[in-house]
Parts: sequence; C-alpha cells; structure tokens
Amino acid sequence: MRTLVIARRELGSYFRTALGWVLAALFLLLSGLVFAASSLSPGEPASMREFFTVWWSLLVIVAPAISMRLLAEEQRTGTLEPLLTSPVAEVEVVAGKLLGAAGFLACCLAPTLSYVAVLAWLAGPDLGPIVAGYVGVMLLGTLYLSVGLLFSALTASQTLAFLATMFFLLLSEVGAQRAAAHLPAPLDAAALALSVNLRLGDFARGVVDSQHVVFFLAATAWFGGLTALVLRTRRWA
Amino acid sequence: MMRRAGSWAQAGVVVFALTAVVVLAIMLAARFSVRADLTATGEHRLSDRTMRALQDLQSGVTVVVAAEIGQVPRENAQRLRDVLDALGHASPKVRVRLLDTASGGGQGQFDAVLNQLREEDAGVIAEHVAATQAAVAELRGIAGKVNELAGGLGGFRDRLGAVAQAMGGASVTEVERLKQVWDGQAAQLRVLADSTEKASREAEGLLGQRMAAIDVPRVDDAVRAIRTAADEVTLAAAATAEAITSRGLRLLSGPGISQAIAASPEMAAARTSGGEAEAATAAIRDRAARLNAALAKMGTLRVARVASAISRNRAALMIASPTSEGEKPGEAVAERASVSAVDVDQLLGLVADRSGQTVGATAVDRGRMEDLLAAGLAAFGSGQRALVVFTHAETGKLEPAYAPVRRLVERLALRGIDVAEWRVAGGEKPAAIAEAERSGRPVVYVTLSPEVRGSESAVAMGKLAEVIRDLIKERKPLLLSVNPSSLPTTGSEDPLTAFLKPLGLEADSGRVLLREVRTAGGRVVETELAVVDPGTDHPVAGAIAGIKTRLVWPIPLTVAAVGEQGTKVTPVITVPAGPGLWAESEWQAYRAARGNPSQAAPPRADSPRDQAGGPGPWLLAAAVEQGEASGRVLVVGSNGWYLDPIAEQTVDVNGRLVQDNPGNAELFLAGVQWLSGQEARIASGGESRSVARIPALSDGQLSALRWGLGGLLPVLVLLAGAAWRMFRG
Repeated sequence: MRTLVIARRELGSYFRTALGWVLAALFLLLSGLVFAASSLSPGEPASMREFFTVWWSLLVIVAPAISMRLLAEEQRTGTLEPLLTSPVAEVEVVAGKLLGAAGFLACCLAPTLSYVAVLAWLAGPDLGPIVAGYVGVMLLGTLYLSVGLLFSALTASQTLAFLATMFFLLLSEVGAQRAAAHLPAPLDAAALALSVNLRLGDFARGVVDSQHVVFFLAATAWFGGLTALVLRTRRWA
Repeated sequence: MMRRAGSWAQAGVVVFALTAVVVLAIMLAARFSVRADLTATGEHRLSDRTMRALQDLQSGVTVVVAAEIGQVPRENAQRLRDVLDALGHASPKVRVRLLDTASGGGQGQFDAVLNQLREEDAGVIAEHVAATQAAVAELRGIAGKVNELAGGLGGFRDRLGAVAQAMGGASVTEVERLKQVWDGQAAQLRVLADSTEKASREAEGLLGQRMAAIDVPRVDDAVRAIRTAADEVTLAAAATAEAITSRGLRLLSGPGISQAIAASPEMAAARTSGGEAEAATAAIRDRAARLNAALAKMGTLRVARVASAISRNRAALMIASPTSEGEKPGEAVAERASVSAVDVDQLLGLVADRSGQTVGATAVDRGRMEDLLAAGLAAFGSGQRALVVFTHAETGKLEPAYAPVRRLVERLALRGIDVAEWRVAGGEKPAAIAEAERSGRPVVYVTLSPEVRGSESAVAMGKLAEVIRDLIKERKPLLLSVNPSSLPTTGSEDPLTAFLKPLGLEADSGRVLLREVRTAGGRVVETELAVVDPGTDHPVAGAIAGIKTRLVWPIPLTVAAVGEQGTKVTPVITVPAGPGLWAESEWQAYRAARGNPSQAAPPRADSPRDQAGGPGPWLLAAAVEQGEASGRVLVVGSNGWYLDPIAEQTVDVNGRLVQDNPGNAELFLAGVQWLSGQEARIASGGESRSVARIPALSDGQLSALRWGLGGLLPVLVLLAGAAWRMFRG
C-alpha cells in the first residue's frame, strides 16, 4: 500500500515539473524520427520490428534521464533522511520509486500507440508482434530504470547519475556482444545471455519467451535489491 | 565498530544470496523456457516435418551459414535469423551460427569452424593420406608390371617368329599376322604403362596440393585419379587376357597346326611364353581391380565434402559432430552423413556473377528457407542412407568420375545419398546393391534409356528392358525416364515402356509433345517444356513448385484403364492444354536435324495420330505405388533431364550467372527421397505467407505522416504540459 502511495507521488512529480513534459516530448521526437525512418517505407512490411529493435538505443538515453532524479534529488534536497526514518521499508521505497518511474515511461509510450493506428490505417499489420514488442520495451525500460535507480542512490548529483547509468548500460550491452564474438563456446553463449538487445529482438518479432521475462524481472529485482541495500547502509551511517 | 562490521558482513551475505537466487532463477528459466508465438500466422513455429527431422537427429549438428549479410535483402536476413533461431531453440542438438564473412570477425569465425573440422578429423585425414600414398606406390607397381607384360608379349611375338619359320606355307601368313597383332598389343600396353605411371605422378602431385578453403591435401582428387587409371588397367588387362587366349594360345593349338609342328620345341616355348603372359595379365587385372575396390571403400573425407560445397555452391553447411554416443571416431564419419549443405544463394535469394560475387537478390519465403534447412538436417536422421543405382545400357562406364552426372552425384552426397552404377550390357550387378540390401538400406534404381542407333544398342535396350521388368516385378523403387522411340511409329511395341501397363500407366513414346511459338522470325517449334507449376499436390511436385524444371523431348503419359490390382497412380507433373501444344508422331526428321533445325521443316499437328488423345492436359510424370508393400515407381516422360548439361545449365542474365533449370535437380532429389520412403526429407517450395505491406504513398502523404508523427506529437505533449501547469499550478 505504502509502495503505491510512493509510486503515485513519484509519478505525479514528473508531471508537476517541466522536466517531465520536456522529457516526454523529447522521447516522442526521437521515437517519431526512428519510426518514420524504419517502419514507414512504402513497399516494406507493415511492422514495428525494426522500430522496437532500435528503441533499445533510445531507452539507453531516456531511462537514465527519467531515473536520475529518483533518489539523487532526495539526497540533494535532504528529503531522503526523513523518508528513511519514517516507518517505510527500504524495499518499499525502492519499489514505489521504480513503479512511479515505470508508470512515467508507460505514459511516454502511450502516445506511440498512434504509430500503431497509422500502420493499421495503412496496411493492417499483425498486432501480435506489436503487443509483444511493447511488453518487451516495458520490461527492458523497467530494468534500465532499476539500474538508474541504483546509480541515483549512489550519488547526490543527477548529472553524475545520468552519465554513470548511460555508460553502464552502453558498456554492458556492447561488452556482452563483443565478448561473445571473441569467446569460445560455451562462454560465448553465456556472454550473449547478458545482451538485452537480443532478448528485446525476440519480443520485437512476436516471440514471448518465458526465460526473457524471468531475466528482465530477476535482473530488475537484483538492481532493486542492491538499491535497497545502499539505502540501508545510509541508515548505518 | 563491531556493529558496523557486522552490518557490512550482513550486507555481503544479502548481496551474495540475492545474486545466487537471481542467477539460479535465470538459469532455470533458460532450461525450462516456454515460448509463445504471438504472430497471427505462426511465423516462428516450425512445421511438423521440421520437428520430426529435429527429433530424429542422431548426433549434434552445427548449422553454419556464412554469407556477406550486407548483400542479403533485409527481409531475407531477418527470416533466416528467425528460422535459425527457431531451429536452435527447438532442439538441443542443433547449434546455429550465422557468420557475416564481410566482417573480419565473421571471416575469422568461419575459418575457426574449418580449423576445428580439420582438427577433429586429423586422424582420419592422416589415414586417408597414408592409404592414398600406398595406393600411388601400388599404381606405380602396376605400371611397372604392365611395362613388363608389354616386354613379355614381345618375347611371345619373337617365339611366334620361330614357329612361323618352322611351319612354312600358308600358316606363315597367319602367324605373321599374329605377330603384327602382338606388336600392336605390346605397343598399347606400353602406352598404358606410360599413362598409368603418369596418373601415379599426377596423384602424387595432387597429394602435395591443398584443397581450396581448407588446408588439407587433395586426397579425394588423388584417389579419383588413381581409380580412373586402375579402372583403365583392369579393362585393358581383361581385353589383353582375352586376346592372348582367343587369338594366341587357341590358334597355336588349333586344327590348322600340324601334329609335327605342334610337338616342336619352338611351339612349346611359344605356348609357355603365351601362358606366362596370360597369367601375368590376369594378375595385373586382379591387382588393379583390388586397388580400385579398396579405394572405393575408403569413402570421402568430411572436410573434402565441406571444401567441395564451399568452392562450388557457397553453401550453408550442416556439420555433424564427429561421433555420437556409442560410436568410434572413424566409424561414425564413414557410416552416416557427416556433412550436409544447402546452397546459400538459394537460401538467401542471392544471385552471383561468373566470379562468384553477389550481384543481386530475390525475396525468399520463410517456409522455403525452413524446408531447405530441414532437408539438410534430415540427412543426419536415423533413416538409412539411400543408394542410387544408375542402371543403363550404355557401353561406357560412369564410374568413378560419373562425368554426365557429376554435379548431381555431389548433390546426392550432400544429402547423404550414395551412388553406384549397374551396366546391364556389360557388367554384373554391383556388389554394393547386395550389401545395401543386406543392411536394409533403401536402394533406388534410376534408368538412363539408350537411344537405339544400331543392332548392338537394340540388344542393349532389350537387356535393359528385361532388367527393368524384373525390378518392377520385384517391387524395387525405380525412377524411370522415358525416351522417345521410333518403334511405335512402325507398329512395334517399345520394350522400354511395355512394362508400364500393369502399373496402370501408358507412355506414348512414339509421340513427343511439341509447342508452336510465333516469333518475329516466324514459326518456331520447341522440343522442350519448362514446367514451373507442376499442377499437382504430390510431395515430389511440392519440391519443384515455383521453380523451373526443363523436360526435353517430353513424352505424354496416360493413366491406363486397367492396372494390376492394388496399384495406385498419382499424377506428379501435368501440363495444361494450351494453344500450339500437341503430341507429334513424325518427330524423327526434326530430331535428326537437331544440330541445325533450319534444315528440317518444323512439324505440324497434321495427322490423325497427332490429334489422338485430345488437346490435353498432358501428364508428364506420375508416381505409382504397387500395393501397400513398397514397390514405388516414378515415371518421367523425358530422358536425360537430370544429366548435368541440362540440370546444371546456367545462363548469363545481364552479367549474372543464374542456374537455368533448378527444378531438375530438385525433381531428382525429391524423386529419390520419395522412392526410398523418406518423404520427410523432401524440401517443398514452401507456402507463401502473405505479409501486409505499406502501400504506395505520394511524397506529400509520406511527408505529412512523417512530420505529423515526428513533430506534431512532441509539440502536442508540450502544449498539454503547458496547459496542465496553467490549470493545476
């Protein structure tokens, strides 16, 4: 219950500041450009597969931007102390913040349904892969937000949290693919298992694999757990 | 201080536990994953046939598709990734690798695959090299013996001189003629010894060279050179032995030789010399035959098959693990298919030019891709490897080079199918057939009907007809190609089609289907048909649906009113009736002038016999099943359609080298697979699934959509934000 209260408060905070609206507009601008370039070519299949695959790179920028203020702002303004001394568990704080940020990401994604409407009007695409694609993007987005939440908990500087998160996401993805190309079997498969882009690719083509869902949820939980632990160490301090 | 340390330790334990739980959850999820395909058309579900092929795999298989991905149309590349991914997920035995050879990493990975193959087979390669080196030495020894035999025949001839002097009179002329004959035989043997020696040197040279793409000695080419030479020695030695007996020894003891001379020491010496030459010849013949048989048993190296596939087809390779459970390394590779391949150009829709460079591409349906890969994987299944026996009445041998069907034989090998040859006119039934039948392997007989030119070939034709009749009676799988024949025109029965009636089929080999075409140059009559739509739903027809199959001098078939009880005839290829298409009875003159058709007036449908049977549709291939117990026969109303000059013909289209009749080889492969009861291995053309596409849009419409989605939406969001802040504060 307390989690939902925190989530609602967090979600509302995005709309109360100009930053949230600007962020949403920026996200839609980039999405629109990518969609127009990748999925709106006469004669090409009416699908959003390419679009979803490219969305990974948008999330690398947008997710850190959404998450950078989640705890860093609280630390900077000094509101984290009262929050941690209140009768709320760290896990509830983290879950609430994450849910709020994921809610905001969903709000950013909602206008992109107009792309689906345009495709449906033009050619009647297969909706299955589109639904799967949105599920994949939300799962990936939430994972990225949880990474951003961890870095936001580690610093009081929003800029630092943003940059650290973005570089971490970029390096982990590129590193996994590079390592897979050079490692012998079966280590290459293990390295590839860390590539979220490949997992998103499955969703984008209409395949919902339980192992991908578990991976995204488990990885999100892991980063969330680490964030909760970081908050607990603050209490010790 | 202690409390803080305890807290940090507790945090460490929590991190460790959390990590362990997460890793365990991910590993379990990967092991017991469930995939849901949300596409409306089940785009990512494999067909039942592919699933059966995967379940039937007897060992691990690595599928390696190496191509310049940048040259592949985006849709094709995407489909291939989907199919490979589906295959990889559907079976733990399948490992898939899509390598972009345009990138340094991809090329390196491909080289690594080849290196791994070479290392895995190092032992077998060394054995083959050693055996081939021994074979080179043996061939050289045989060449020496042939040379000695030539000298021995010289001695025999000299002794005949002494006999002639002792005989005098008319016999002198006879013996002098014999001397000339032996001079000739000795000269021939010297030439043979020389060419055999050359072949041994050539084989040695080939062993010193490396295969393209794979750094392994050219063992298979060396073996081929040795076998060809050994085969020539066997034939020549057999002929010489026969000559020594019939034209030498028999004459020396014949009725023309008086008793006194017959008892002379010269005659006795000549006979001894002749006997020694005969024994030496027989020894050489047997030695060469043993060498040939030993090399034939050696089989082809897995790496050689890979090298062949890479250099000729730019193939997508399927490589079986060197062993599966319970097998020994060398044994495994020899007993079952080790390598299978799919033409990567077919798989990805690439079009190559003469130099092998990709110059264009066409769309390939996903179903077609899946079927091609599944057909390649089926070669590693539990089903026994089929043996195709080319059964013919020609005087020449196909083995070991299989010159007119060499590419076809290579294709068969890559589908795990072996070949043998049965020369009904001159050779005994090959031992490979009995061996295959004993081990339960399906044996498919493929006929090559002769063109009747003289009395000798008429006899050969009779023998072939006899063999075919027996095969049908014994319910052996048979692929029968029908040749046009002049016999029905003269009122005689064509012996090569007479046995079809009990099967419920008739072939009108006295008439060929001709098509009249009007061109700017005037009236042209074509003697071949290009079939793209076989017009039936038989599994064999599925393999050639949508691709061109060329049938030369086509013979119409008809389903007979009465066949033997239990026989079932199913059409495989039918051609619809069309204007200018008729069955011509007076085609011989036109065929005789084939080299220069302008010399013969193109025939017309002008006789009652031409009109017999109506305007069509025409049945050109039919499948016969004789009851429930096997006995399958596939009859194709055309001859030589699977020979390399037709099946592998390429055409230059705007600088692009394109296989002109891809359906011919597919028809053969599918026919063999159907006849051997392995329908699951037939790659069908695949049903096209419709894909919704963005329609053509004007530049204005496209710009409006792009600006609307790219620019208008963000502006609307910003306006909404401004409104929110105005009203909510």
